[in-house]
Parts: sequence; structure tokens; C-alpha cells
Amino acid sequence: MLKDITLGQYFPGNTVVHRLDPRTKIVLVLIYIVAMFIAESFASYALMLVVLASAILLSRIRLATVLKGVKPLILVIAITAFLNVFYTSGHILVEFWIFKITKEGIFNAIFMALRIIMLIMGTFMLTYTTSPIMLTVGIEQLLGPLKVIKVPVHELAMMMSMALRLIPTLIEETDKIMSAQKARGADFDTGNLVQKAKALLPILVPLFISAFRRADELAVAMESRCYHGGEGRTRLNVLTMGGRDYISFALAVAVLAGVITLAHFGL
Amino acid sequence: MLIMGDIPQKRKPHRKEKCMSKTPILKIENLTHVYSKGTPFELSALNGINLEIGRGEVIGIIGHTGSGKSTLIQHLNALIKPTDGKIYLDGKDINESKQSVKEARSRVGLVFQYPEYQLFEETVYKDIAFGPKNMRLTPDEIDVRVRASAQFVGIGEELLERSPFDLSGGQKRRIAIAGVIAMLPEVLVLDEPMAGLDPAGRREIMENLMGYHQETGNAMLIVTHSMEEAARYAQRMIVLEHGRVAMDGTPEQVFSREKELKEMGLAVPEMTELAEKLREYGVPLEGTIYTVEQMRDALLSLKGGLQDA
Amino acid sequence: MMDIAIKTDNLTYFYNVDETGDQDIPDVLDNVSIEIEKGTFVAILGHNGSGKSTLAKHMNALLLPKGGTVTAFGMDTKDESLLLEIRRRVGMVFQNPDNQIVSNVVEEDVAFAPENLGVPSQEIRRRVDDALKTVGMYEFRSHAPHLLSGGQKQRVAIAGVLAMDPDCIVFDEPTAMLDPSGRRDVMEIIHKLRYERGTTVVLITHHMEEAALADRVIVMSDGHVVMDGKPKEVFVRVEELDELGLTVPETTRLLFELKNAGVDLPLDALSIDECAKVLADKFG
Repeated sequence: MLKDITLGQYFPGNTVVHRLDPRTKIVLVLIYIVAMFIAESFASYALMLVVLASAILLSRIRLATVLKGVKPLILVIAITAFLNVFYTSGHILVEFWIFKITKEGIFNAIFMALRIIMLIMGTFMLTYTTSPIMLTVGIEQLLGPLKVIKVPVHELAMMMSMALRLIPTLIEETDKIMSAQKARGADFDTGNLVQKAKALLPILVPLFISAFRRADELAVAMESRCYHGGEGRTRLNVLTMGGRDYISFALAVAVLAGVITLAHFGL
Repeated sequence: MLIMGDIPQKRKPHRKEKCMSKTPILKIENLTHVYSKGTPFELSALNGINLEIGRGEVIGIIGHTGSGKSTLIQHLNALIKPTDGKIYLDGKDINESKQSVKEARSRVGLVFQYPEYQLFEETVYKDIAFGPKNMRLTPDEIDVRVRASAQFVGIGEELLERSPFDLSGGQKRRIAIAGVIAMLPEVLVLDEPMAGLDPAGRREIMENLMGYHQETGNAMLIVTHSMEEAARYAQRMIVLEHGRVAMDGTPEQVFSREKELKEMGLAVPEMTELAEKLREYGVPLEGTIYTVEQMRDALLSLKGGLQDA
Repeated sequence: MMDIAIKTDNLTYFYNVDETGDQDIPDVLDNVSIEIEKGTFVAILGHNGSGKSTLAKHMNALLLPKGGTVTAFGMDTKDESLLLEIRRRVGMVFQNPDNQIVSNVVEEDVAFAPENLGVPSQEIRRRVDDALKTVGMYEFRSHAPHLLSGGQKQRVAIAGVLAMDPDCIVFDEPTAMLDPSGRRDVMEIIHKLRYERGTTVVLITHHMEEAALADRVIVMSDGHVVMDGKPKEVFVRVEELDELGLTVPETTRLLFELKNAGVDLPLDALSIDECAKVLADKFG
């Protein structure tokens, strides 16, 4: 079911991870991503795994939920790993026909898969523990300086939060329209590619019309609630950096330094 | 005038025969449905439903949000598969094969809530023809069905070549219903067909639907929140609660259990409530009253009695 | 002048053909002049396309008159410098709750309007909590709106308007998409606002039972006001209402039918209690 997609989903909570300033979390995730790309040894992966595990533990989000975010990409990960197994030269373990499985290939495959999975899980931790609005506020403020060079930062942030707001509604709507057209005998599963693409029209046309209608009504409702752009806006939740934010930064820099050091010594 | 009787029908028995036939058109046996089974979001929506829907019955399905109504009706044409239990259409399990599913989709027509949001074709004609086309009928058969269904829902010929998106909300709703009627389903299931319409619009749609029912003799299941409307049009009412059939009977039988209905958080018809009040005041009303006409006649007969005495 | 919340003076409006797009038959308003007194609860009835929604959208300057004037609390809606103040004082709740909620978290949605108005954070927090308590959704403050029921979403939408601290709220068919329990909740909130806060309420509806609860009922047809009075005065005009494609509460219908059958009864016993009393006197 389409409903099972967790894209951009937020799990409310009141843990340390939830309470971190969104700006902190965005920067932390960026550092995490950089560190993941530098890491290339057992030791550094172990270190990163500890970081990820503690974030998950602290956030009290179930591991199964975090893993679910990886599921849609499992095929991509599998193919990447598969290619790595066969296309890495080195110490040959098994050989048949033109294929050679090497020790290095297996290691590479495991690391590559692990890296992608950890990257996804880490980034999902950001959206799982930060409400989309806080996320946009964070991005808006981090990008704030760009206003000077006339980048419409508020508008971009608003568009993003609107998109996030409408995604669950439109997914639900797609489900409904699909059921309704199936009830009229529509068949989405059989036929060649052209037929399948054509079969999507009865879903896409009503979906687009409905999306525009919703956008229109939403705009009127926003106007009714005195929306007039970003000027003079205040916030319910003002972003304030606290002790925990500075400590997290310090830890993140330490981890990054650790990974770089490990890489430097080829560990 | 075109009527559905003119339509060449393949497997449909003659109307009279149909009404006389004893076997139910739909039989629901021990139907259970659990959403997201095995996850923390597990939600049991239906718990062992047993029902028989007779050919040509008009049934009102009542229950508050979350009682399982929507889940139940989506099982009837195999849009949702049972977790447990079976649904028989004309004695055949509808989930038996791909073929049986396909057959159920056309023989049990399902009109969702706000069906006007599913219109997609350039013209009214083409949109109504979508269902019959999917049934692979001949162009001639499709043409007859489109015109007849449009007529049933009160959409004039002159609108057939218009874009459905240029028409009013009420007209769109009726076109969407025609799109399902055009499949000539032996059971027509409608989820709140009148939601959001003004009183005149509600009346019109219900009258169109009753006209269709009388003409074809096909069974109709109407999910509604309006007790008054269910009572006015249905011969039988099914009340669902917590995924179970809480009541099943004639409107009289159902409304005579006023207390239980209220305990379920359902509204009883205004006239039923009024009758109760009047009895409290000592007005000797007999039987179950749920329509204005019944109340009027009951009161007038009382008055007659008074005058005679 | 002091006591008038909304006033329309010869209000005329029509849609340009290219504006209507795929909408319903365009509403028009033809010289509509009404005054809505402060602190009253006014229901507006009318068939689809009668102009009632168009009228409502003039009350907070979502639409501007093409003829005549509309004033909200003495402010001319055409005066652009007063736009925000007009919208703050005249809130609006729409039919589809899904299309008026702007955030993925209940409390952040409710905060949207005060944020736009530049209210200080602490004050926003106070208003959000207060509004959510008023509609009985406080314990859902950190939930995601799309997982709530229709009735709950509509309550959140109402809280979002209450957070502006408006003096008048226009409800445009707020119960049309709700089930009976959701409808009951919304009507209870309207009652509370009217009687406990003294908020002026304008309710556009198709449900006669809801209109029967109002202080005053205005019936629109083809862009004109055709009836205007207390519910009791309006609903006794059964035949006219039928002709307008509307209906009357079942209690009134019954009294009307009995009257037609020669029983002498007053038609204005609207509530079930009143109706029962009248009938008990006659038949008991």
C-alpha cells in the first residue's frame, strides 16, 4: 500500500534528540555524511555505527521503523553490493566461468552496502525526530544569510513545508482514486508498457485536478489566516541553541576528527 | 425512451425470475479483516460478519465512523481481500481466481464517497463509458448503456459531449454514479451518495437511484449517516458496530431498539424521538414511528378516535 | 453603528467567465444589503449556487464587491491598509478541513495565524493552548493532523482561527463533510463561542437542524436575500422553502402536514420538546 511509505514522516517525541535545535541536527547530519564517506576501515565503521546506534537509542525510535526507511532502496543496495562482489580484483576465493569472487570484493560489498544503509538511516533520523516545520525553520535560518543576495529563502521554506503537508493527503487520495477506478474495472497490472502508461491516466488526471483544487483552497485558507509572506512573521517555537547543542557539536567534531585520523593511518 | 430492459444481457436472468430466486446474490461468511496484521498498527476492522444480500433488496448500512462500513463494502467487489472468511457472489467465491475477481468488479458496482473526484475523461460520454469499455462490451452495447445510465441519473443527452469538469457539483456526482450504473451491476453499493449536497440535490439523487432500482430490480446497498433517509428508502437496515453486525432487520425492527442505537452513539430519526416524548406525555402512540407520514397518520387516527368517542 | 459586526450595502458581485474555471455554476450577488449584529448567531441557507458562499467570502475581504460596499466592524473591506485587521477580526472556517490545515503538527498549525500577525512567541503559546482547549483538542497538540478524524481536523481548523482572537467567525458549511458525531462537536463549539465568548457567528449550512439553533436565519436564492428572520418565522414558510429546493426540520414538516389535514396547530414549535408539548396538548 502507498500508505506505508514513510517519506518525510515525523515521529513526535520529547527525547534529547527531538529537543536538539533543528539547525544543529541539520549540521550534525551533514558532518555524519562527510564522516561516512571518509570512513573506510573496520574501526571507523565501528565508530560510526556507535554514533548511529546511540542516536537511535536516544531518540527512542524503534530500530524496525528506522530500517523500514531503507526498504524501498533494498534493490539498489543489493545491486551495488552484487557488482562489488564480482568486480573487485584481489585475492581470489572462488572462480567459475568469467566470474571471480575475491576476498576484497566481499569486504567491499559489505562496506558499500553498510555505507548506503547507514547513510539512509542517519538522514532519516533527522526527519523522524524533527517536525517538518522545524526542519524548514532550521533550513530557512541556516540559509538566512542568502537573503542578502536576493534568494527567496522564506518562500522556498514555505513551499517545502506545504509540500510536506500535502504529501500524506495526496497519497491517501491516490489510494482512493485507484480503488475507485479498479471498481470500474480498470486494470493497472496487465498489458505492455504503453498500455500500462495509458492505464495511469484515470488516476493521474483526477489526482492533478484535485491537487490544484486543494492548492487553491489552501491558499484561500492561508490568506484568511492573515498570511502575507515572511515579513514580520514570528514563531511559536523560537530556535535557541542550548548546552546540548554545543555538546553535540563538540562530539560531532571529535568523531569526524577520529574518522579522519583513522583514515590517515589507513585503519 | 431507453430503459435498461433494452440492453442485451448475457448472464442476467429475467427480472421476474430474479426476484423469485431464493439464493442470495451475495453471501458473506464469517468475514474478518485485520489491517496491517503483524505490525504495531494492527487494527481489526471486521470481526466475523455473516450476511446474505437478497436479489433486488434495498439495504441501508448504518454505523459511525470506524464501525467497519467502508472496509465491508470494499470486500464486496474484491477490492480488499478478507483476512478470514468468504464472499460468495451467486454462489461463487469471488476471491477464487483472477477471473472471479474481475467478474465481481463488474457485477458488484461500488460508488465511493465524493465520486465526482474520479472523473477524468474529456467528455461526460467517455467517462460513463469507461466501465463498460473495461468490460470489453461492443461499441453498440456501450452506447446503449451510456445513454440509459445518463438518463437514470437525470443527465440529459445535451450534456453528454460536454466536459464533466464544466458542470456543477451535483451533476458531476450524478455522472460518476452513472459511470458505475453503466456496468449494470446486480448489486449497486454506494458510500454516502448524498454527502455534501443540498436538500434538493439529496432528494434528486435518491429518487434517481430508486428509479434505477425499480427499473432493473437490482439490489442496492446504501451506506449513510442519515437515519431518516435510510428509513425512507430502505426495506432493510444493517447496523454495524466494532466490525460486527449489531442489528439487521426492517427499519421498524431497528428503530424499535431506540435505546441501543443511542448507546452506540447513533442518532435515531427525529420522529422516533418525538414519539418517545409524546408517550412520556401520555399520548397513546402504537408501534414504531420513524417517518413524518407515520407520525401524521398515527396522530390523525388518534384524533379520529377522540372525535368518535 | 457600534453594534454592527458585518454590514453589506447593495453588495453586487459576479464572476468573470474566465475566473470560474471548473467550478460550480458561478454565484452572483445582486444588491444584497444585510446587517449582522455583534454577538449574534446568524445562519445563512440557500441551495447550491444561491450566492451564500460568495457572500461569506466578502465578509473577510477574500472577495471585494463589484458594486456596493462591505464593512466589517466599521472597516471598509476595500481599504487595503485594513486588510490584515479585517481578516484577524473576521475569521473563516471552510468546508474541507484537509484543505485548510497548513502544518504537519497540530499546535504548529494553530500557531500559523498569530505567527503571521507577528504576535510574540510567549503570547502565541498562550493562545494556541487556549484555542486547543476550547475545541477540546489540547491532548492532540503534538499529533499529525492527517491521522485525525474529519471532525477532529475541523476542530483543529477552528482552533487555528480562534488563535487570531477574532470577534466574528464565518463558518462556510463546516459540517458538510463530517459524520454525525463530528457535526455535533462543531455545533457544540459554535454554541460555546456564541454564548460563552460572545463571538459573532455566521454559519452557512444545508442542515436545517443546525440553522434552527441560530438567532436569525437568512435564506438566499439566486443572489438575493429572500427570507430573513428568527428560525421560527422562517421555517413556518414551508411551501416557499420547498420551492427554493430547501427543506424544513421534520418537526415543522409534521405540524404542517397535520395543519393541512385540518388540525389547528402553531407551526413554530421547532425543537422536539416544543413540538411534543404542542402535540400532547392536542392529542394527549
